[in-house]
Amino acid sequence: MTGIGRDLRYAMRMLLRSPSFAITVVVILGLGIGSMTAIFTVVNGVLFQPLAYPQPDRIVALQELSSKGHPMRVAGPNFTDIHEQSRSFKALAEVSNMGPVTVLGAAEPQRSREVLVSQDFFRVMGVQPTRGRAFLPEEQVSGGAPAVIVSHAFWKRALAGGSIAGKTLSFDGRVYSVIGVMPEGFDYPRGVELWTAAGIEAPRSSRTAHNWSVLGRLADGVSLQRARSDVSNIARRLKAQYGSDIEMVDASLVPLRDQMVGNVRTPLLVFLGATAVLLLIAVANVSNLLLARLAVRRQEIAVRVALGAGFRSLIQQLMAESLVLSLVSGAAGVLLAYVGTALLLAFSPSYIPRMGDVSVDGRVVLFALGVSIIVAIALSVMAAFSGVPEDIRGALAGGQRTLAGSGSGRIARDTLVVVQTGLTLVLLAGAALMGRSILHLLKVDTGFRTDGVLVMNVAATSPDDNARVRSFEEQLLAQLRATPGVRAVGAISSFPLQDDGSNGTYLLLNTPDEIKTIDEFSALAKDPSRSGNASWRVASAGYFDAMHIPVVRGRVFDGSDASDADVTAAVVSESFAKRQWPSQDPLGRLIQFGNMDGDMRALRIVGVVGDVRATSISQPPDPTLYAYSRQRPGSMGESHIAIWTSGDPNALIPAARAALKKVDANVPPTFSTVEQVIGSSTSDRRFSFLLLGVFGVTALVLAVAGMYAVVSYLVTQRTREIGVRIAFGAHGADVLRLVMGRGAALASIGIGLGLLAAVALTRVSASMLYGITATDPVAYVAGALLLATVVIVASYVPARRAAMLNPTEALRNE
Amino acid sequence: MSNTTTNDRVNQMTASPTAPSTAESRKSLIKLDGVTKVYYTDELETHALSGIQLDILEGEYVAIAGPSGGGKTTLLSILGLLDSPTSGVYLLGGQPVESLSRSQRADVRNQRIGFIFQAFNLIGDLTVYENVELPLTYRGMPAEERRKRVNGALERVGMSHRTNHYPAQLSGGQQQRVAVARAVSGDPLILLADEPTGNLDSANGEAIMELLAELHANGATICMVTHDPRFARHADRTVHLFDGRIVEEERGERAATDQQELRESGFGVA
Repeated sequence: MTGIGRDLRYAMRMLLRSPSFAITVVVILGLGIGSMTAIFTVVNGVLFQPLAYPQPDRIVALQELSSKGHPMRVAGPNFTDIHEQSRSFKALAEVSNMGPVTVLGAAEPQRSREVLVSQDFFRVMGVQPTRGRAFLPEEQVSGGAPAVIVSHAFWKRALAGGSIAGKTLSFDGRVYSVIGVMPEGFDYPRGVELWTAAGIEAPRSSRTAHNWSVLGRLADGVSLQRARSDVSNIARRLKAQYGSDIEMVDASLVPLRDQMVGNVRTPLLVFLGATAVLLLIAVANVSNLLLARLAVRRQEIAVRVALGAGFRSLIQQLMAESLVLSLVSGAAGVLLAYVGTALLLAFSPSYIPRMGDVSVDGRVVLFALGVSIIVAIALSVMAAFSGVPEDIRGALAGGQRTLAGSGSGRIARDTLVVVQTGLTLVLLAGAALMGRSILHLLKVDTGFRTDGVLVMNVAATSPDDNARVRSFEEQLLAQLRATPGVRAVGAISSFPLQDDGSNGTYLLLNTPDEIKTIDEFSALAKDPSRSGNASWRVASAGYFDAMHIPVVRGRVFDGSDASDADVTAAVVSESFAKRQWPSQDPLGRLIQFGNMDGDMRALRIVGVVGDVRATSISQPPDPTLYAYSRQRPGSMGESHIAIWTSGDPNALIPAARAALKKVDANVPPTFSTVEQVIGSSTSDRRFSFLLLGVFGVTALVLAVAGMYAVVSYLVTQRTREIGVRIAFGAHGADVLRLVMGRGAALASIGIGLGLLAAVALTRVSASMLYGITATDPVAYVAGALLLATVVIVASYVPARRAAMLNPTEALRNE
Repeated sequence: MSNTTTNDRVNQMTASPTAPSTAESRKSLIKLDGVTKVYYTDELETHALSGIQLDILEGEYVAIAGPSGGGKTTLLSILGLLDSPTSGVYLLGGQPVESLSRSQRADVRNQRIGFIFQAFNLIGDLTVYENVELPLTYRGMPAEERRKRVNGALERVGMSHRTNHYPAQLSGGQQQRVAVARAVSGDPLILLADEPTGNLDSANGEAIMELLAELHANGATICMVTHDPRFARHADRTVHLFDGRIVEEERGERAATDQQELRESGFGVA
């Protein structure tokens, strides 16, 4: 490759002399490269970047596997056995997310998330507190001194970043000594600010209570496969040993990073694929511009050939121009990626983990450079095959006796338009599928009131003190009920679509006092004819009214349900009743729901209420049992108050805050409207729709520009022919038909091929859809109609210009 | 006249021509009265035509000669309704054309005027047959009628054996024959030829002129722009244009001779 420097200089001079062409190309390619780079930045940060812990690939998550192969969290005794029997781990730790708690003892009351961790947690993560220390063994035993390690953010915010010596915090009904501060940025589990010792909780004997996430750090020299085999063998042995007392039939190990990002891998890769399609469209668009430009430069290139330029030197020149354009576009793309990444970080829904690890780093820049070089090669190859005129003499003459463009150039341009149109349809169909999914979701009957409700989340300061929890809740509800603008108010342990809540095994009882202990419960629950699995919620009497959940049979809770009753009241959902008593009356039936709240009293069904989509708007309602919060306050440490208002729910926040302050000034609340809760629960799909919509619209704009350019070029090339046709009597409509017919034909082929490609490619997004399949015809037809309309309008503008041509000038055109 | 509508006038213009008989009985087909054409560019005013008075009778063969830039092509464009005069009156078949709409002018061009261009202007994507058929398709003529007319026109120019060829497969002379067939296929009132031999060698040029003479002998009205005295000799009358004005009109052989003298006197003839 000789003279490459000269070629590059010449290329830059050529582009500087055609600034509008250069800017257009850089904008189009910059959009393509920038979009792909921005999404790659997220993919890189979330999927590819190692976790910010020492030797992160050695950290694994251990899960029990059910007989159906479903992963489950680990029961305490099973963890203990695996911990004792396995030699594959340097450290193995239990983690249990306790949710938000109200923390006193700091400058102001705090609402923070607490997690229980066992002794080896910090060894597993390879991270130690930067201030203070980790838990001592004596702090990890039942009855040990309560100790807490706080996050760097909590320390700065609540403890003013000062000394922790002698500091104590009160939550969970205990007083904890602050013994350490984690390093800045340490965020595992996500959003947690308080790490407390799991060992101080009384151990549970149940091997079916799946309460613990388990993390391990592989021992030196132990491969993941060997460790998997090891824990699998132990799990099988335990199953053989404990039989029906244990649900685990096997165990699995997955790298922690995979577990953290497993749910978002498919959507992120779909987004990356969408930007790749967008980049292809941009390349096709620019290729078309280059072809048109090469057609204009045909004579110049022919002169070069006539003066002795070899094929190689000519190609080298064309490649140099493509390289310069692509690299400048790549640089523009990196700038765009910075902006795009900031926007993605600002708008990304909370369901995407590790967004804190997302940044434009060296790998991202290398990616953009690599993409730019690939684009340069693609453009160069295209230019090489289309740029050198075969008919040098004709090119030098610069004219043609007949009125038609170069055949190969025309085919290339037409092909590029077809490709662009087809690929645009792929993106539009993807966006339409997402849009239709959201429409379906919005039409879903959630089973509860979807507007006018303010949700106040509060955590009692003494969650383990039933009397205080009951008193706090009843006072708060009374205060709120008396607040002007409040139409109804009620509390529940887990608000629908806001958190997963609890579920577990229940047992049908013959008599209220049939069982007294959890062991008796476990024994009888092995009989499938008497047991089942359902969601467990605890609610106040007014909750169903405030949430507009209909009472189908019987009643909801009322004053007759005394807190000290031997048998407590329960309300079940319709699906619960239908499943358990398909042709019988559920009212009066007795149920024991295990040890969900430490209360072994039986539950008597007093009513049936409508089903509610509680865990996900896209999931069918779970069969649910509601216990009465006055009788079973044990699950109400963290409660969610639904306040049905007569006006704007947000306007009631100050009054609600004041009502809470009257009851307990130490409890910091959080607020959201029910619309926000529903919106948040669909944020994953809305984000997908937003991204694919942006890509689709960008592709549409590029496709329009491509079609406009091609038809404009066609008009320019065929100006004289159009003049001849006008001379022989063609009307404006005839010319419109001639020019637009070409655009319509290309669009039709592109749309046809695009439909086939869309059907093939959008299948990967099937898991992101709701209510429709990946081959939903409405989405495809909508995308195709939109695209067809827009490209036809794009071809109308130059066609109209052609129809208005002055024939005399057209006939003079060379 | 005052009661006729524009459409009426177009219809009258596009009615079947009456075949000319003798010079005395010939009617005026084209009449220009005080036609001027002024172009305005960059505040410059260019008078391409000034006060043109011209009568072309039915069945007449008129040559328009003159130096390059003299206004020949502008005059032909106005005659062909491809352009409009800045002022003056243009009567085609006795009807004024100034007030015709764009669409009506297209109809008149399609049905009453046939064009032959110097550069042939055949459409490369269309076959010989399709090129000749083109004006007839714009007329909405039934396919069978089109077929008869196209085949007839191609036979008249001796190109009926090349109907399925594309223009690029033909010589220049053959292409111009096809262009002539295209011009006559619609049976126009007048053929307007702009330097029809300009891109041909002398043998092919002579053949085209003979073809035009033959069409004229069969009753066609022809108005031809040419700078070649040998070809102007074929015309009944030669109109000399200079600086946008008609400076002389001559008939038959004399017209050709004088044009030769004009050329030798130093006027730059294209």
